[in-house]
Amino acid sequence: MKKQTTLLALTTVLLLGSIPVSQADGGGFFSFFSLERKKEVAPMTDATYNKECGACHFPYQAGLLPEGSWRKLLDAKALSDHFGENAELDDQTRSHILQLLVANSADKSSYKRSKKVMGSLEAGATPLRVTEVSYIKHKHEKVPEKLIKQPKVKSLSYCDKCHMEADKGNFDDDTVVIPEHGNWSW
Amino acid sequence: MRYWTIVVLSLCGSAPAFAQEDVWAGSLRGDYTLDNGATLYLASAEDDAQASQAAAMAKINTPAYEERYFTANNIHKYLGIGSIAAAAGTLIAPKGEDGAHEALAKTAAGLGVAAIVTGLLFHWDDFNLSDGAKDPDNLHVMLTTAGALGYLAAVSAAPDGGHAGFGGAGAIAMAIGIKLNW
Repeated sequence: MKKQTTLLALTTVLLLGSIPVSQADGGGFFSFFSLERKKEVAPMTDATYNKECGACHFPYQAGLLPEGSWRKLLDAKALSDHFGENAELDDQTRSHILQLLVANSADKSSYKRSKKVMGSLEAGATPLRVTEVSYIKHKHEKVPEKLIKQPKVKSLSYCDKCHMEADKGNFDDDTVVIPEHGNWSW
Repeated sequence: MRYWTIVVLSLCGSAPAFAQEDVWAGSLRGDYTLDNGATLYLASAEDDAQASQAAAMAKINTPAYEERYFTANNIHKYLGIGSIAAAAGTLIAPKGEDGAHEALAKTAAGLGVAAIVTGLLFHWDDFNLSDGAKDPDNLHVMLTTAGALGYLAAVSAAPDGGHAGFGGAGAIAMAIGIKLNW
């Protein structure tokens, strides 16, 4: 019986141990055992990015869109008409921001929500808006439109109006406080 | 002595894990809407004094937010982690019926089942089998359910020999399942 128990435990360990290997990203097998939390999206801590992009809108985390999306958005020509606004940047700044976004894009990230973003996209899809990502649309399906379109929120593009820890990359529903409504979940 | 070493190392290891919720970099919000509908663009404010005044006004008009420790998500998390702690306790407690070993094993099973029930209740919309076995939420569901079943199998097979294998496998499955969503 003891032999059977050992065999069962060993088989289980080997089977379960293979899962982190199949999930392993660039960090490799041992990164799985790190205590660093990777449930959300990687926060953006780059001062240039937060200053340049955060000047006009919420500085979206790179892990919310795939590399192809960021390449399209950060194209020099595209920036001259960035959703109706001129958002041109000098070449050095644009290149710095593009490299940052590409390196941390959803398809390269080991953070859970970035994986969920990629899992919800068709192969090769490059949405230009975070709100076009199926996973993000699905996560907001139950929010009444009147709460989204109210003056204090305006649209889903303004993440930090309701996600109180959006700047830290935390979009957990227990950090959501909707103006004129309160906590979204208990 | 070996058992005490395991307990001390486990406790030390868990401290940075919990502390990480509060060690993120400083905050930067893009803009704030005031009650009159005007928008403040903090990052684009050229003057420091203007920026700090704007920040103060924005703070007044931003919904009050305080980190909550007993939310649905956190309760689910505490139950799962609690089940692993109880399973670890079962391993080191003196063996025998009607003793700490049995009580901790039943606690682990109870907490594991409660974690599964709360997960199904609070996160029903977060997983979908059609997303495949590589989806982190699907893997989390499969492994933690296997973990709770392992606990139950161990409790039900005890005191016969072999129940430790179920319990140990259950704890490993639960731990990996939680780590995938950590």
